Amino acid sequence: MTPRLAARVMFLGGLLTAPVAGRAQSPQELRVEVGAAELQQLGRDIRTATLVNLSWQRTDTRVASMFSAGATWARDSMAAFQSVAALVWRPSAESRLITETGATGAIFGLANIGRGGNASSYLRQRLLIGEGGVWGGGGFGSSMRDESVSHGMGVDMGAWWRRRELQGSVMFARYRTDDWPLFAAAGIYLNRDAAAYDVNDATVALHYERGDLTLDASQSWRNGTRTTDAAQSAFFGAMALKLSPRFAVTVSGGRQLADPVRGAPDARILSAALRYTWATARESDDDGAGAVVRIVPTDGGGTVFIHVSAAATAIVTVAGSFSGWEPIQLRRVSDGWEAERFLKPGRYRVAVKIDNGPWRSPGNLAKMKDEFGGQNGLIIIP
Amino acid sequence: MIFIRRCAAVAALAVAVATTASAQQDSRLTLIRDDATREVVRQQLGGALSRGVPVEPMMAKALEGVAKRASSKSIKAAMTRLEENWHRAAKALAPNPTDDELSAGADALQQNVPESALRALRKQAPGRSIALEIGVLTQLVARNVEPGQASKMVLELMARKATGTQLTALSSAVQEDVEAGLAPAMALDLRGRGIMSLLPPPSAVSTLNPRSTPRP
Repeated sequence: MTPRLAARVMFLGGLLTAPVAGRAQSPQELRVEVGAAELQQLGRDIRTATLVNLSWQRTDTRVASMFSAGATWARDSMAAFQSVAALVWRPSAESRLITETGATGAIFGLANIGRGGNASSYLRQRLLIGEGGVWGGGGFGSSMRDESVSHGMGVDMGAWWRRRELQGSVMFARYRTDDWPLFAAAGIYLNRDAAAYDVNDATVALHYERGDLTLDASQSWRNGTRTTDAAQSAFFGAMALKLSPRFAVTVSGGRQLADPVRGAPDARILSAALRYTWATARESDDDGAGAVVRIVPTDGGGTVFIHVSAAATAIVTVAGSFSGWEPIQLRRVSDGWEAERFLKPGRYRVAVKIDNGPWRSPGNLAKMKDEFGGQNGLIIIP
Repeated sequence: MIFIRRCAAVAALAVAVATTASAQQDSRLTLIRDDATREVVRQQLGGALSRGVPVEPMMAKALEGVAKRASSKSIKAAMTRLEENWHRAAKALAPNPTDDELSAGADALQQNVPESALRALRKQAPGRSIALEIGVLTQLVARNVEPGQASKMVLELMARKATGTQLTALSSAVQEDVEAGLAPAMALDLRGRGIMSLLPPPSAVSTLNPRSTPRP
C-alpha cells in the first residue's frame, strides 16, 4: 500500500484500523462528501473540479470491511473515478495482529498522461505494541494508458504510536515501476537506459483528534535510486470539523506525489467539501462501551478500578463527577485501558467515551440518562 | 466591647469564606471556554443560589455538560431540571435534609423514583442521613427494578439496620444476576432475602440496640 493510497483510504473511509481494533461505536457507517477542488498537475494549468465521494464501512470486533468510491470532474472534461474495497481482519479481539488487504480500481482521463485505468491490490500486516505498533506490507498495480500497459509495485514498513488525541506515524517505502508517462509528468527521469524507475519514500504523518475537530498532516520525501533521478518533497494537510452529529466540513490541501502503484499523478490539490455521515446504532447501546468498574473497599472509602476494553489506537476518555468532569489519566494494559482512583464515601457519576462515540456508562454500573444524549454510571462508595 | 469584637471577627470570617467560595466558583467558570455558555451557567448559578440551591451540584451539572460538548441550551435545560428536582426533593425529604440527601434525591427523581418513595425513606430514618439509601434505590430503579418493589426492599433492609456495605452489595448483586439473565424483580427478591437472612428482624433490632430507635 503506497503512502498515497494509504492517505486516500484514510481520507475517504476514515482510519480503517481504528474501528476493528477499537470496538467502533457504529457497526455501519455511510459517508457522502460533496465539494469542490482546485487541481494542478505539474506544468499544467489549475483546474477547478467537482468532487463526490461515497464510503461505507462495517465494523465488528474482529472484522472491518470498507468500500469507497469517488469521482472528480473538471470543467475541461478531464475526469477520474476511483474506488477502494478493503478488508481488515483480526484473529480475536485480544490479538495484537491485524491484517489488512484490499483492491483498488480507477478510470481516468488526465491532462498530460492520457486516458486509461488502473487496478491494484495491497496486503499489510500490523502488530500492536503498547499504544502503537509496527507494520509491513506491499502492493502491486497495473495501469493502462492509451493502450500502453505499465506496472508498479512497492513495499512499505512503518510504525505508529498514539498519545491521547495525537497519533503519529513514520513510513519507509520502496517502489519500482515502468510507468514512464506517470513519472515523466512528475519530473522524474532515468539517467541512463533502464527498464524501470526506482524510488525510495519516507513519510511522517500526524493525526490529531479532539472533540469535533480532526487534523491530519503528512510530509513525504522521495529520492531516486539506481538509475532514477528524483529529489522531491510534498506536504499534505486535512481538517475536518463536525458541525453536528451528521454534518462536517472538510478542507484539505497540499501536494501528492505520483503514486506508481495506483497510477495517480503528481498533483497539487486544494479542496473543500461537506460531509454527511449516517451511522447505525450499536447492536447494544447498553454494553457500556466495553468498560467495567470494580470497587475495592478501603479505609475511609474505596478504590475504583475502571477498565475499558479498547485498542491502543482508540481514543478513550473517562470522566466523572469525582474529577470535576475533567478526563482522567488512563494507562495502557494488555487488553485495554485502565485507571484507578481513591474515592471517599459518597455518590459519583462516571462516563466513558471511545473515539467519537457517545458517552456511555460502564457496563456493570447502574445506567442513568445524562440529559445530554448520553449516559452516566452511578457509583456508590459506602 | 468583647461582643462587638466577636461580631467583627465573625463578619470578617464570613466575608473571607464567601470570597473564597466565590473565587472557586469563578475559577471553575473559566474552564468554560465558550462565552455564551459561561454566561448562561453564571446566570443559572446566580438564580439557583438566590433560591436556596447550593452552587456545587449546579456547577457539577454545568461542567458535565461542557465536558460532553452539550449546547448552552441543553446545559441550561439540564440545570433548570436539576433545580426543579432539588426543590421537589427538599419537599419530599423535609424537614431538615442535608445537601447530600437533596443531591441524591434530585438524582432519584430524575431516574423516575416517585416522591412518595423518598418520603417513605425519610419517615423510616428521620434523624440521620439517608443519602446512601436513596442512591441504592436509584441504582435499583436504574437496573429496571420496579420502583415500588425497590423502595419496599430498601425500607425493609433499613428497618433491619442493614449497613451501607450490605446495601451497595445488594445493588451490585442484582446487576450481576440481571446480566446473567435473571429478571430484575426476581434478582432483587433473591438477593434481598439473602441479606435479610444475615440480619435480625426489625423488632430484635430495637431490643438489641435501643439507640437505633428513630428519634421523634
